[in-house]
Amino acid sequence: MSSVHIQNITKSFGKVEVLKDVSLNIPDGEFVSLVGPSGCGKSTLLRIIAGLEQQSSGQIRIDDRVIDNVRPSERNISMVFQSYALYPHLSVFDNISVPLRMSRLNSIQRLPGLRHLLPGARAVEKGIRADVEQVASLLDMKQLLDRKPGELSGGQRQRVAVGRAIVREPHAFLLDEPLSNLDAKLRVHMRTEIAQLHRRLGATFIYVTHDQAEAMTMSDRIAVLMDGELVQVGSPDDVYNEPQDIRVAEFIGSPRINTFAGEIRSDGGVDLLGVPTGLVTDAEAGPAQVGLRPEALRLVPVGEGVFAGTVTHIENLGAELMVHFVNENMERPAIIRLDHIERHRLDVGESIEIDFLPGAVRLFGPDGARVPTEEFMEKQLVNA
Amino acid sequence: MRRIRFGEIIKQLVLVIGAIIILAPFYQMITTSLKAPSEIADGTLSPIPREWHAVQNYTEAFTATPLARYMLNGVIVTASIFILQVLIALPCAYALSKLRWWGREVVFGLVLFCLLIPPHAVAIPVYLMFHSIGILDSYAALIVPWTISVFGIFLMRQFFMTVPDDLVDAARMDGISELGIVWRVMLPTALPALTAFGIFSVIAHWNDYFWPLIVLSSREFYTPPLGISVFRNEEFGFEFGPLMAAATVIIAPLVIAFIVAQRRFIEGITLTGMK
Repeated sequence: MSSVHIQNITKSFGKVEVLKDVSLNIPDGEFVSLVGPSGCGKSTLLRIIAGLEQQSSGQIRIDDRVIDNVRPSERNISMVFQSYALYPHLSVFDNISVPLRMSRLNSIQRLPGLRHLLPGARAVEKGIRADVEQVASLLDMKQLLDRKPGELSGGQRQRVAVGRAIVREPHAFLLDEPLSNLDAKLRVHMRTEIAQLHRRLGATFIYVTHDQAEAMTMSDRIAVLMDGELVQVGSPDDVYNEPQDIRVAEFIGSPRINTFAGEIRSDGGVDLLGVPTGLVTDAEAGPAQVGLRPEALRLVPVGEGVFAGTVTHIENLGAELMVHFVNENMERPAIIRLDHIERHRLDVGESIEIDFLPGAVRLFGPDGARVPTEEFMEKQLVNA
Repeated sequence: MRRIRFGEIIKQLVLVIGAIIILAPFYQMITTSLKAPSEIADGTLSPIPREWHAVQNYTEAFTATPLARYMLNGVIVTASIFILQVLIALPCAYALSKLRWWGREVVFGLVLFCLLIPPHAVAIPVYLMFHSIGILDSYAALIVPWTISVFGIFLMRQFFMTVPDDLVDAARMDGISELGIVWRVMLPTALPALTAFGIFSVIAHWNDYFWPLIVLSSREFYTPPLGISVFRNEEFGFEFGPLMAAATVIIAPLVIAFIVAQRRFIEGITLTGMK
C-alpha cells in the first residue's frame, strides 16, 4: 500500500482547460473522495492517476516513484469503472483472474489451452485459482464464480468488478462512480460495504462521485473540485461545517444550504436580509452572501424571531420535516429542518418566525470566498 | 372474427405466392437433376420425374469433371479470404473506433469512399497488376484482391463503437496489450457482428463467378461456379441433368450450413442491431 502524490496537474482538451493546477497528497491507507458537479474534471483526474489519460503538465508520484510515463498496467493501480466493464464473454472466475494471468503468465503460456498443458503454467494457474477463491470468499461471492456477467444483478456485477480490482493487491484503488448504476437502496448498502472493505484492506482509496452523500459517509477526506480547481480539501465535518467557498457550501449537504442576501456594513457589522446578525468582520464593506444550514434555523414563537416568513411547502420525511418558506426579501424559498418529535402543526400558507444561532452563520464575500466573522452584538428581534 | 381470418388468409396467400416465385427455380433445378435427358428435352415441366435418373446424373457430375476438386478449391479460397479479412478488418476497426490519432476521421472517410467503388470497376487494373507480378492463375489471384474488406472494416468499426470505452480501459489496466485487446476482448464481444459479416463474405466469394473467370485459365484452380460452366461447353453439349446435379451440389453446403446454424445466424443479426 502506498501514498499518492498529485502535483500541479493541469489538463487541457484543445482550448478547454479541464484541470487547473491541482495538487493533492494522499497518505497511505486514506479514503479520499473527489467530489464535484459533472464536468468539474474529477473523472479526468482519476484517469490521469490511472494512466489512461496523459496530463498536460504536472507530476504524479506513488510513494517516491514518478509514474508519469509508466503504462497503466505497470502502475499497479486498479480501477473500478462506473459501468463495471466486465468482460462479457468470460465467467466471473476468469474475469477476476485476468489481471493475475496477464502478470504471472508469459505470452506463450497465455495462448488458448496452453495454460492447462504446460507444467509451469499449471502451477501458476493453481496459485491464481487460490487467490481468486480467496477474493471471492472475502466478497462473499464464491457461488457466482462460474456465471457469466450477463447472468448477474447490478450489485453482483459491481462486486465482481471490485474483486477484479483487489485480486492483484495494488498500491491504490481508483473508483469511478461505482455506485451510480445501482438503485437507491442498494447504493446505501454498498456504501457501507465499500467503507468496510477499505477498513479491512487498509489500502489507499481514491473515490470519484458526484453524490455528496457518498463522499460524506465513506471518506476520511473530501476533495471538492469545481470547474477544474480544487476548492477545498478536508474531513467530511470540515467541509460540511466550515466550507471555504459558497460553491462548496451549496454542493455539500442535503437539502442545500440556505443562502440569503447579506451586507457588510461600514462599521464591520453583518446584516442578513437587512437584519443585524450579531456578527462582525474585518472584511471590506459591501454586499455579501450569508449561508445557514437548514438545521441552523429554528422555528420560534411569534415575537421572538429574527425574521418572518410564509410556509410554501412541507416535506414530511418521517423522522424529520423540511419546511420551505419565503418572505418578501428572499430571492428563493429557504428550508428549515425540524425534528418530527417537535410535532409542529404547520400548514402551507401559515406565517412563521425564524431564529438562528450567530455561530451557525457562514459569511461569503461577493466572489464566493468565505469571510471570517466574530460574534459581537446582541441580535435584534423583529418586533423590538 | 371472420374478417380477421380473411385478412390472415390473404396474408398467408401473398407469402405463399412469394415463396413459390422464389423457390420455383430451385425446385426446377433439383427435379431436372433427377430426370433423364429425354424427359428434360421434351419440354414438359413435370413436377415429379417420370423416370428417376438421379444416380446417373450425380455420378456424371462427379466423374465428368473434378467437381470435388472444385469444391475443395472453393473451401480453400472462401476460408482464406474470410480469415484474412478478419485478420485485417478487426485491428483496423479497433484503431478507427477506440484509438485517438491524427487523421482518423479522414481515414474513416476514405474507408467509406472505398465502399462506393464497385469491384468490377477496378478489375482490369488489378488484373494488369497481377499480370505484371506474375500471380495470375493461382490461388493468390483468387484470394488477394478480397483480403482487405472495406465493408468488413466499416461493419466492425460500427459495432466496436457500441462497445463501452470502459471495457477497453479496464483491459489496459489489467495489462492487456492493444493487439491483445483486439483479439481477447473485442473479438469475443463482436462475435455476433463477425458472424453476420462471415455470412456475407462466404456467400459472396463461394458464389463469385466473375473474378475467377477473369484470372483463371487452369482448371485445377476452378471454383464451384466455374466448375458448373464446364458442363456447358462444346465438349459436353447441353447436358442439363448433370449440369443441374452439379449446381445442386455446389449450393448444398450453403443451404446445409444455413439450416444447421439458422438460429445462430438470426440471433447474430438481431444482436448486432440491438447492442
